[in-house]
Amino acid sequence: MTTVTPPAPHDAPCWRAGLLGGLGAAGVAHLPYLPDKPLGPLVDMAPAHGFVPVPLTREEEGVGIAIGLNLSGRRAALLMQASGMGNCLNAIGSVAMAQRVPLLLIVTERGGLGETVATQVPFGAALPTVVSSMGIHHVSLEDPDQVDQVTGLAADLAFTARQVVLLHVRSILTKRGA
Amino acid sequence: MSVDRPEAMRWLADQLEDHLVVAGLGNPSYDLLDAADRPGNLYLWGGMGMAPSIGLGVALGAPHREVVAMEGDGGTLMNLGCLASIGALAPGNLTVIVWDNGGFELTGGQPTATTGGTADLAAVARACGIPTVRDVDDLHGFELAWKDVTMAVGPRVLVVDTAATPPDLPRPRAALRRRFLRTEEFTDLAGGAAT
Repeated sequence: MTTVTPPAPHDAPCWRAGLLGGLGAAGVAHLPYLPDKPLGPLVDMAPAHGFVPVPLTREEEGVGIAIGLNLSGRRAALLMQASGMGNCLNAIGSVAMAQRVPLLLIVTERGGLGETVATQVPFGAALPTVVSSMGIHHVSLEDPDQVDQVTGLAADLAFTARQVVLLHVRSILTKRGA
Repeated sequence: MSVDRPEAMRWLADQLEDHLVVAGLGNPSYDLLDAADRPGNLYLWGGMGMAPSIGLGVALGAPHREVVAMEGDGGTLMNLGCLASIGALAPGNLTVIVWDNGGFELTGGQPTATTGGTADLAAVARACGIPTVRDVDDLHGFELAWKDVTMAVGPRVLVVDTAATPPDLPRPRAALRRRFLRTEEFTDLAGGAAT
């Protein structure tokens, strides 16, 4: 009889550090934000990594600010949770997409696995379908080992190919170890 | 008293040097394109209310350039939070011009919250901590205010009480459709390397 040795506990890299690492390597400096619980600590640690967080009154305003920064030749990534996407869909479509301005969105999942608040489910669960129907490129961040690389590749697609790209930060990642 | 907006725009276009200008959808874009097309103009044809926010982003990204953002009263009311953010982030190189005709004019002049002076956008701007705010209602006052605010500390907000648009005003739709897609020229001019 053979004994199965369980794999050694994997010390997964911090997704926040991976995300900031990928953004920094891609030349992103400004982070307009409207935080949720997973994003709050990321905003807190961003200045120490050389980023400039920009507080918002509403996510739609952040689309405008990120577009302005990107049009001035800088690189911004807009941080918000899924419900915030509902507040800014028209600005994304009728300015960024219609005028082919690069836009990188970092959106934390709501309404999926582990959700405990019923109000977050209708829009949060529909988010991938909604953004797909608009033609927005969206990629899930789920694997802590790939956050850095996927973020960098998403930044290439956004800024070099001038696309709107959404990184969907899944709860399986943000709730890891929680 | 109120300002003839196209006339004010033509005067303003003559004052522009290397300013980067973000014009909101509707009359600000039509008027600016008609008065003076230039590579440093960014015309919106969607995203109502977004011009001051985009101008804020450009001002933060190009801190050594003067940036002008123009929006109507309807658009400004839709995105009132932008005034709070402009006050809080305080870019010294940003001027917001609100062309306040007191109505949704493009759709027939239906009332907005500024109709009859109920909502006072200049007072909102002041309350948001914006250091330089002017409220003008005639062309001479507009000209003086522009010269005055450009010497003053930014950010600046200029609320212009405008008359109804003359019925024979040009609506350069075909030109705008061609022009509004040339966003990379704006980036080149802003000093950023287009990637």
